[in-house]
Amino acid sequence: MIRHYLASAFANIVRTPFTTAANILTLALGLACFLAAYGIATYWRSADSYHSAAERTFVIGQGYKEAGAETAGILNTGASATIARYLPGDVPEVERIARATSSPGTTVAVGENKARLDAGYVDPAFFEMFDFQFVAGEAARVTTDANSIVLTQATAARLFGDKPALGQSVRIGNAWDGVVTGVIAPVRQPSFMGDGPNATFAFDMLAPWQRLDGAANRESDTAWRAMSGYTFVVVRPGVTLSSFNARLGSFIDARVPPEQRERVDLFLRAVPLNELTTQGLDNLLFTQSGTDLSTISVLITLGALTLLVACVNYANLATAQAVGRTKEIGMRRVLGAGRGRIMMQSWLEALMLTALAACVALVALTAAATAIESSTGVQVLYFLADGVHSLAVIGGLVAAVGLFAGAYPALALSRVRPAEALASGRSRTAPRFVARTLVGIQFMSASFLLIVLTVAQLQKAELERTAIGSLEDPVVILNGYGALDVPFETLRARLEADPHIKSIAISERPPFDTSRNVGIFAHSAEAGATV
Amino acid sequence: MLKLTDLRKVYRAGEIETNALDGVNLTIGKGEFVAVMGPSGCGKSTLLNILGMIDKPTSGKYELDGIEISKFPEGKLVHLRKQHLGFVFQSFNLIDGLSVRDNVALPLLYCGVSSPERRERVREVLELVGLNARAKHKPAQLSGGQQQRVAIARAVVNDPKLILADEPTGNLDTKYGREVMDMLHVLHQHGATIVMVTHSHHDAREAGRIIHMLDGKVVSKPAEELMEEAALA
Repeated sequence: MIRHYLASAFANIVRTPFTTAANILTLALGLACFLAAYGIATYWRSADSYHSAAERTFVIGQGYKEAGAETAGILNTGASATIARYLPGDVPEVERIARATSSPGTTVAVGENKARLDAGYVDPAFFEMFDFQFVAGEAARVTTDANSIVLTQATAARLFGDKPALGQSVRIGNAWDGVVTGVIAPVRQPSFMGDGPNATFAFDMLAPWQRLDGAANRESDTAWRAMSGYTFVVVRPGVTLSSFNARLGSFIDARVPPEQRERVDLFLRAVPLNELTTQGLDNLLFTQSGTDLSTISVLITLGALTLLVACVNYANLATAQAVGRTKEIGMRRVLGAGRGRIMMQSWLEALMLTALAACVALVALTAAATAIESSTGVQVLYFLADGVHSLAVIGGLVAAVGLFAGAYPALALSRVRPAEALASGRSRTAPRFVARTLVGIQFMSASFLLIVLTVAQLQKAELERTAIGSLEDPVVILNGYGALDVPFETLRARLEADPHIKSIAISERPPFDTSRNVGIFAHSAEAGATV
Repeated sequence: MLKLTDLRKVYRAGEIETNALDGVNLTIGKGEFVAVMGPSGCGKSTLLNILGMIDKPTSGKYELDGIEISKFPEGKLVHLRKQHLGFVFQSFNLIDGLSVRDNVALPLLYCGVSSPERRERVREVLELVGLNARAKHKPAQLSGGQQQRVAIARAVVNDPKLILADEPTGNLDTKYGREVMDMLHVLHQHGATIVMVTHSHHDAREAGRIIHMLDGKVVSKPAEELMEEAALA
C-alpha cells in the first residue's frame, strides 16, 4: 500500500510540476528559516558544553531590585568579588569557586618586545573548572604558582616567535614579572572565552587573581556593589539550578545587613554556563525593557512563525490543487478507499514534499553557512555535527511539518463525495470556515513578521543615522592614560591643538566595550566619553 | 438480490427541492442483466449511485441479499462496496497517473489482497479483456475502447456479485461499443448480476430486462411512449 501511495504521490508531482515546485519552495523557505533559528540557538546553547563539569557549572549573576518594585531588576553576569570570599563556607553545595575578570590593554614586555594584551585574572580553581587544551605546560602548576601566567598560542607566538615560551619571563604592567607556565590552544567556540564573536571574556593571557590591581579591596567590598567580573561555581553532583538559587537567596539574607537592603535590594541568581554567551544580548534587548523573553526563545518563535506561514501556505495551495483531483479521489472512494486511506495518501504526499523541501532547505543553508559564519560568527549548521540526534531532529521536524501542513488537504480530500465528484468533477471538501481561518492565520502571521522586519529595519536605519559613524566621524581611544602620569588638562590642551581632533573626553571605560555589561556601556556613552 | 422499497432521493439547493427518485420499487434477482432507460434527468444515475452505495437515499429501503443497508454507516458501506460491487462508467474514470496494471489492481489493494495474489488476479483479468500486453501503459496511451476494457477489468477483478455500468458504451464508437457489450455478456454468463444504465435501445435490448424511468419513477412503458400519450391526451 505504501508503495502505491508513493507511486501516486510521484504521479501527482509529475502531473503538476509548477504547483509542486511552489509548494516545495515555500516549505523549504519556512524550514530554512526555522532550521537557521534552531541552528543558531543550538550553537549558542552548546557554548562551553565540552567542559567535564559543564552541567554543574554556573555563573553567579548579581542584580538590584529597587524597594517597592514588583519585578526584579536586571541581572548582571558580573558579581561582587566578596561572594567568592564567603560562599564556599556558607553554602556547602559549592564544590569549587573561581573569579575571572579581564583587563584589556595591559602592557607586557619581553625584553624590548612590548605589546598590549587583554589580560585575564582568574582564581586557581578556574583551571580545574574549565578544560583548556595545554599545548605546553600543565594546569597543575598554574594553580599553585602565584607568578605563573598562561598565554594563548597566538600570544606566545607574538611574544616569543618560534622559541618555546614555557619558563620565560614576561614583565606585566611594568609591575611584576610573570613566568609562563602554560600555553593553551584557542578556546573551542562557541564560548564566553577566547576570540569568538560571542566571547565576553576575551584574553590573550591569564594571570592569578591576586595580581589584579586592588584585588584585596575588591574582596572586602562590604557594600557588595562593585561588579568584579565573573564568579563561577561548580556545584556538587545532584544539586539542581533551582535548589542552588534558593541557597543563594538564603546566603544573601544571611550576609547582607537589612539596613543595606532597605532602598535597593541585592539579589543573586545562578545562570547556566551555556547561557552566558546570550545573557548580554538578553539584557540589551529584553530585560532592560522589562520583558521576560530571551534572544533564543524570540529567535525560535520567529523561525516557527515563518514555518507556520509556510505550512498554511502549503495547506491552501495543496487544497486548491486537490480540487483538480476530485474525480480521482471520487473514483478511489468508489473502489473502496475509506476516508482514512485517502487521508493517509494525502498525508504521505505532504510528507514526501516536506522531505524534499527539507533537503532543499539544508542545501540552501549549507550554501549560506559560510556567509552567515563570516558575518555573525555563528555556525548555523553546527547541530548537524551531532549525527543521530540531528537526524532525529530533522526527521521529527519533517514529520511534524508534513502532518501539520498536510492535515487540511487530507481532511478536504477525505470529504470528497464520490457521487458528486464523478458526476461533475467537483465536490464539497472541507468546511469553509477552516479555509477562512487558515487564510486569516497566514495573513496575520505574515503581517506580524513584516511588521517585525520593518520595525527592525527602521531602527537599524535610525541607529545608523544618529550613531557615530566609524568612517565619517571616527573615535580614537587612547588606552593606558594612567600610565602616562600626565594631568588630563595638559593632555587635553595638547590634543586640542591638533586641528584633526574635534573634541576630547575621558572615561573610565571605553565605549562599545562588549566585554562589559550593558549598563556600563550606556553610562559611558551618556557621560560623553567621545563625540 | 436487490430490493428497493419506496425509495426516494431529494436534492435540496436552498429553497428548491428536486425529487430525483420518487418512490422507486424494484427487485432485481441474482444473475439478472437489467438495462435502465429513460430521458436525461429521470433519475437513472441517481438510482445507480444508490445501488452502488456511493449515495444515500433520503427515505425508503434498500435491501442487498435480504439485508437492509440504507442506514448503514459510511465505513460499512465502503466495506460492502469493495467486496461485492464493480463499477463501469461512461468516461472510464481511470486514474491517469497509474499504469493499466495499477488501475486494475486498485480494488484488490483496498481489499488488502496480498501482492503476489494481486499480480496474478490482474494478469488473469487483463488476459480476459485482451490487454495483458498493455499492462504497463498509462491510460492516455490507450484508445477509448481499450480504456473501457481496462475499466471493465478493474470492475471485475475482485469478482463482484453486482456490476453497475453507467452508459458503458456512451463514449465509444460502434466497434468498441460492441466489444464492451460482448464483454458484459461474458461476465453475465459467468454469473454476474449486471445493472446497466443506457440511452441505447440497441444495447438495452441485449439485456434480459429493461426498466423504464420517468421523473424519478419506475414506469411500465418507455418514457417516449408515455410522453406521446400524455401529449395526445
